[in-house]
Amino acid sequence: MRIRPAIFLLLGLASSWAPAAAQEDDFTPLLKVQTVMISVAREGGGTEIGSGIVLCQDESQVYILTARHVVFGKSLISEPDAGQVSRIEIGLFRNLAPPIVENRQERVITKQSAGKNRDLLLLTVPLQLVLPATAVLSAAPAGSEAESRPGERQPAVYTIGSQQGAGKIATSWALAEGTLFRRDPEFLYHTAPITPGFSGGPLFNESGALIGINVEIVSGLEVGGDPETRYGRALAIGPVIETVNKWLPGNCLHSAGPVRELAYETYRRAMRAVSIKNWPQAEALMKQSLQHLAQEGGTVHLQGMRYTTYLPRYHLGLALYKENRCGEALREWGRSEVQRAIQEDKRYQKLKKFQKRCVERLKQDIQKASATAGR
Amino acid sequence: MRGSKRQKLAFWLLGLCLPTTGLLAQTNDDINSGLQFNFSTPGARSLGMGGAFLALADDATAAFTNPAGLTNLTVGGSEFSLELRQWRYTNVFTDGGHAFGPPTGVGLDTVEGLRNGESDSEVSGISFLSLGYVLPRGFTLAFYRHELANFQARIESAGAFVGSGERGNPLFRVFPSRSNLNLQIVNYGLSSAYELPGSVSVGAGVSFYQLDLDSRTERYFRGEQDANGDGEVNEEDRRLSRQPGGFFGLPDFLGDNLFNIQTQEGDDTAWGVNLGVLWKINPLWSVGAAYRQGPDFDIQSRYVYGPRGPNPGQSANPNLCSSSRTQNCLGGQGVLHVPDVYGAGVVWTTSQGKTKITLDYDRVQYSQLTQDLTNLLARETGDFDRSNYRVRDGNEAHAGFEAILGIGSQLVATLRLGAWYDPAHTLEYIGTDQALRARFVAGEDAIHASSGVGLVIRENLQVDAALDLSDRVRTASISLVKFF
Repeated sequence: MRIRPAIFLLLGLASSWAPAAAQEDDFTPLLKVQTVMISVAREGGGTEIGSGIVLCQDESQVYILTARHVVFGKSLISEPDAGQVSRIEIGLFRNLAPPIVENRQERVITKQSAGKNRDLLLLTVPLQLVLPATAVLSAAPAGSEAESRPGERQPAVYTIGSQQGAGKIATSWALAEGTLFRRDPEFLYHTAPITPGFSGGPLFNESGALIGINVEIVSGLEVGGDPETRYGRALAIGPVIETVNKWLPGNCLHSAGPVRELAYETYRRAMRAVSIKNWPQAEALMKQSLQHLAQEGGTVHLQGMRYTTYLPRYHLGLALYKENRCGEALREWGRSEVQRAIQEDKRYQKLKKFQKRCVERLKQDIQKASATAGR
Repeated sequence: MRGSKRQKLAFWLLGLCLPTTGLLAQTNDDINSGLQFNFSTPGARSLGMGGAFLALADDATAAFTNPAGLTNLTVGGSEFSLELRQWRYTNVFTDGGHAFGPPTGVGLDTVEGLRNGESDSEVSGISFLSLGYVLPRGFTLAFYRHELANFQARIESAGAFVGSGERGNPLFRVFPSRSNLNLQIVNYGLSSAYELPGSVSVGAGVSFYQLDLDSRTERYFRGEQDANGDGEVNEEDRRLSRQPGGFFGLPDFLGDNLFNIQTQEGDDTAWGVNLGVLWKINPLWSVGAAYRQGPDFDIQSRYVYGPRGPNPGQSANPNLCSSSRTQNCLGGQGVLHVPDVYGAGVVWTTSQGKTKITLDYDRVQYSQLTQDLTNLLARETGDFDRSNYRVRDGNEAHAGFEAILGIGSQLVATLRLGAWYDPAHTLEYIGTDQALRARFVAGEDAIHASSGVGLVIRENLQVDAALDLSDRVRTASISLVKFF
């Protein structure tokens, strides 16, 4: 059984409710402990630094996600060439374990899985030490899943990255705060002032949940923002998971974490609302669960001997469907299908049935609207 | 059911408690001397945890045990459950021996002190069937059928010797007897619960009970020490009294030697209520308490002489006992009062929710069984005194443990252990009649040990199995729960 230090549990819980103006002392250790520094030496003497996030951990290995270019360079066209890399050093926060060093003499990293179309790289590294925290995933910034609108308060984001010290190696962790500027299905754009050492590093929402992976710094002109401002571009967690899920062992993304416990506790209350058919409450609580943990899957203890699969998107869709909001319901069910946990569950048949009904209902609504307009 | 019971039920439903009214109770039939059965609570899961379930009460069996726990279904959803049980009883009774004096050494009278006999019986059946349903607005309902008692016993006693034969302490031998008893109490219940603010749940239920009781005790004649009736005991008497059917001889269980028959019959229905409260203090601690009213059943008892009796086909006393007549009577109409039970429990759950430890205390008011005892012994007709009989109220202590062994996407496996203290609750005679003191002896406390396993398969089917073992009762249970 894994016993995580109580201090980190408390920090984790604190982070779950941390306000936007959270102070570094009480908020960032939990984020930093999930973040690793990566220093890469290449043939010809060049050294680059970047960051990574510990996605999850099993009995003997940790799974570190970073940007592919951190290790293999900027070109996404050519196949990764490990021969160009002479040394990789991965540092853990506060020296929880000695740096993981791979060079030509000693191969440590057991597997490197690189994205073909996305700038992602998963490093599988042996580690016996149980880390105090691993990433908790969320699809959205806390408080809102909607597209940002002009004049609306922008959700705060945090990002952690490596700072370069003497000898061109990463020596410390830096925190950058900003707000979410724009989002599209693939990328999140934020104003946190990041430097190249943040590449491959995590982008967190206000609750400390992972919402993206920093891959680039872009100018305001590119994203329709202030031309004088540079923006961070991060791969959104949805596409990230879509890419790396197949590289990870089955339950890895659902490994322990304080925010997960919070998500499950909220989910329990949400399931009670579903059970007693209190759909507005179910909707609110499912959304709250999603803010804590957006990835579906994993087993939740409801009560007594009752266990169920964590399917907040499916149930959110159900609540919306019961509230006659078919358009929104279809969107949530679509997202649920993308995450693929629902396909393994008995409720998938219901989802298909409700989807069909919703589509029919929408068709009827359109026909009615057309008929009304035609009069 | 009598009208007064309906009134009582109405008051209970209003949340008022009527004082206990005088009711007739069971009889001092020999068959009641050796019986010690329990009024069971349902569920293989509960059984595996030593019956410590008052503060847990998180499945449909809560409908009977602690109805407040039904609110747990609002988190998990509706469920259907079915339980099969098998009981194996070992009934201990006075079979022979010699009390209140030394054995004479003649014939069967060679054992110093009372000698116990044992008989085994076995019953099985569908012990619990329920449908727990979640209603909108957070109310929960459960319909169920529960076998409160399912018991059989067959005993055969050679008859103990009592007394020393000296002045003031005559030598006497209890008549040999054969007895059998079948008892089944089934209840059809409806319980409901609601969760109040502050994680406090309250629940109440009403049960319709059905009694099926049938017992028969046959007492066989045995001769006197003065076998030839010439007024003195000599060598000839000793020879004759050692023969079957003689004072010191083996029992003669042939039909024409039947001295009398005692019967108890009950085919009645009654209502009862149960109430419960459950407080989930935090995710780690819960406490619960419950009260269960035992039903009162009308029963008929009868005493008739057999072919060897003085008036075959007649009673030893023409007066039948009733609620208004308890003295100088024999048999008649009485009431079997199933004991009321109230208890409280606590459960502690580890932070991960994988281990639970539960403790319950139950107060079982067994003394209600003798509150209005009906006389069914001819020798007691003249000076029957109900206070000479007693069953002490029982303080039961239950402890249970449950651990999740593993959680997979398709399977959850659970191990359960438990134990409970079952205080003696047989009918005991505490008067001065030595023969009755030899026949109605206090039982012994018992410790039950239990264990069980549970599997949840594909999130919607739960299978539990459990064993509960003690010196006198072995209970095996298997249950299926289908989640919706």
